[in-house]
Amino acid sequence: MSYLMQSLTKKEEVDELIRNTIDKVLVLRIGRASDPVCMQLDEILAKSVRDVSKFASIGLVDVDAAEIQVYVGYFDITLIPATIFFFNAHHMKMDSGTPDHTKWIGAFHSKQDFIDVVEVVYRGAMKGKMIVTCPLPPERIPKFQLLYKDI
Amino acid sequence: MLPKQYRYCTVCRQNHQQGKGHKYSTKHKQRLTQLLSKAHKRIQEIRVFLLNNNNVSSRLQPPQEDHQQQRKFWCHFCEQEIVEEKQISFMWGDVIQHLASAEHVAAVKAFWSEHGADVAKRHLYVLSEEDLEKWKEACEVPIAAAAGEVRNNGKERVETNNIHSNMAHFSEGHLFKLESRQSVSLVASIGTVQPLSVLTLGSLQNHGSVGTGDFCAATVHEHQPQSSMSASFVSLFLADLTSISCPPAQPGEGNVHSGATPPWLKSTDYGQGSSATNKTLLSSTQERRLARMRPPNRVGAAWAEQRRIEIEREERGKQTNDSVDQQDGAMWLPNFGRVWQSGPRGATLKEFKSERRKEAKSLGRPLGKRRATGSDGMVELKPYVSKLQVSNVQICDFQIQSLE
Repeated sequence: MSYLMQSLTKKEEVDELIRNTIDKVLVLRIGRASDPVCMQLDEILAKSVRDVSKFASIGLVDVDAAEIQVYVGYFDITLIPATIFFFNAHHMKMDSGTPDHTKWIGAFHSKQDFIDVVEVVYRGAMKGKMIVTCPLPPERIPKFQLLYKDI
Repeated sequence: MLPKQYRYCTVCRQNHQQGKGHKYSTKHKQRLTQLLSKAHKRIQEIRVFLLNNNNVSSRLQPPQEDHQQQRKFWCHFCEQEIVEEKQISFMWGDVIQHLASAEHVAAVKAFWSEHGADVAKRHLYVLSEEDLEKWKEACEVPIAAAAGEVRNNGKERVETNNIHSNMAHFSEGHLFKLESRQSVSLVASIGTVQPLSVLTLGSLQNHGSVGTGDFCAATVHEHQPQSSMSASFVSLFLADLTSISCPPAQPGEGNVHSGATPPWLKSTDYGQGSSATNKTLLSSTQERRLARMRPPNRVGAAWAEQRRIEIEREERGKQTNDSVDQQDGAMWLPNFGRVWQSGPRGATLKEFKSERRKEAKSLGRPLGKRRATGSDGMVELKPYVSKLQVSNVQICDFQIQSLE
C-alpha cells in the first residue's frame, strides 16, 4: 500500500512525526513494503486512516533504510511488521498476552480490530495510562515466541 | 366469549393469554434473540473442540480440573442439563454427542416452530453427523495412547505430552522462535521471567523446575497455545512473518526495555522542521475551547502544551519570514470571510471583530477605517508643497540656466 501512504526513510522525518503529533495517537508501522504480511497490514491501515483521523495518525517506516536502524535497535525489532503506538511523543505499551508489550507484531485480523486497538490506546492515554490492555480476544492476536539471547 | 387459556412461554418465562400471537410480540422477539445468541456462543465454544483436529492433546481433559468443578452444559432446546462424565476423557464429549443426537435436532425444530425464530440460522444450533463422525475418528487415536497414561502418571504425563505436541508444532511452522536481544535488566533474575512467560502464554500446566543453564531451551518447550484458539488463525498470521536481524547493540546504548532515552528526543537540531502535520483549520476560539476539554492528566500533557507553543512560535516566525521574503507567494489565499475555517459564522465574526480592534489599537486610530491601512504603510509623509510654487521654482531654474 505504499502507493496510498508514503513510507518514511529518514530519522529526521520520523522524529518530526513523533514530536509534531500532539494529542493524537501516532501509529508507526515499521516494516517492508514488499513483505506479504506487511502488505496485509498496510491495506488495513490505509483503509482506516480516514476513520481514525480524528484521534490518530498513521505513519509507515521503512525498516531497511539506513537511518531507521536507530529506531530498529531502540525498539528491538526482530519480526516485521511491527506496529508501535505513541501519544504526545510518549511510547504507549499494550498488554496483548504476548511476550512483548512494547509493540504489536504482525497484521491485524480486520480493520475493526485495528480501530478498536487504537481507540483503546487513545482512551487509556487520555486517562494518563502508559500501558493498556488489548481489547481483542486472544485468537485474534498473532502469537509469537521470543528467545532470550545474551542473558 | 370465553377468555383465552393461559399458556407458559419458556423464553419469556411468563404465562400469557395471547395465544399463538405471542411469538410475534416485540418483547418475546427480543428475549428470543438474546437467548439464541447466548446459546450460540456456548455452542460455538464447543464447536471449536469439534473442529480443532490438529491439536488433539488440548481436547484431553486436564485432570486437575476434575476435582474442582463438573463440566455442565444447559441445553435450552431440550431443557435439560448435560453433565460431563469423568470416564470420557475428552473435553465436552457428552455435549458434542448430545448436540448431534436426533432428539436434540427434533427439539430444536420444535423450539423453532413454537417460538418463531429465523429458520435460516437453525443449523447453527445443531452439530452435523459428519462432524461427529470426524470427531470420533480423531478421538480414537489418542484414546488408546493417552488414556492409560492419564490415570497412571497424572501431571508428569501432561508435561511430557505437551512437549511432544509443541515440538510437532514447531516443525509445522505454527510457532515462531526468534532470537531477540531483550533487556539487560531482565538478566537480574530468571525467576521474574519465568512467571511472565507462564502468565502471558496462558498455559495451564504446572511447570517443572527450570535451571538457569537451559533457560533458552525451556522457553520453547513451555509454550502451549490456548486450547480455545483455533489453529487456522495461528497459521494465517504466523506462517509468513519475516524475521530480520537486529543491528548490533552499541555499548552504552540501551533499548526500549532498559528505558534508554528514545531517539526522537535525542537529536538536538529541530530548526526548520515541517510542522505541517499539525496544521489545524480551527479558529483561535475553537482552539481555546478544545484546550479546556483536554484532560490535564493525560499522557504527556505538559509536553504537549509546551510543544504546541513551540510549533505556534515556529509557525509565526515562518509566516513573518514569508511575508517579508515573498509577499505574493504565501499570502495569495483569501483570508477574508474565514473561508478556510470550519465552525459557526458567529465565531468567525467575533474573531474578526477582535482582530480589528487589536489592529486599530496597535495603529492608534479609531475603528472603521480599516481599508486605508494597506495603502497607509506604503505612502511616505512629506511636507505640503504647493504645485504653483514648484512650477515657479522650475521656471526660475530654467531662467538661471539660460542666463548663464
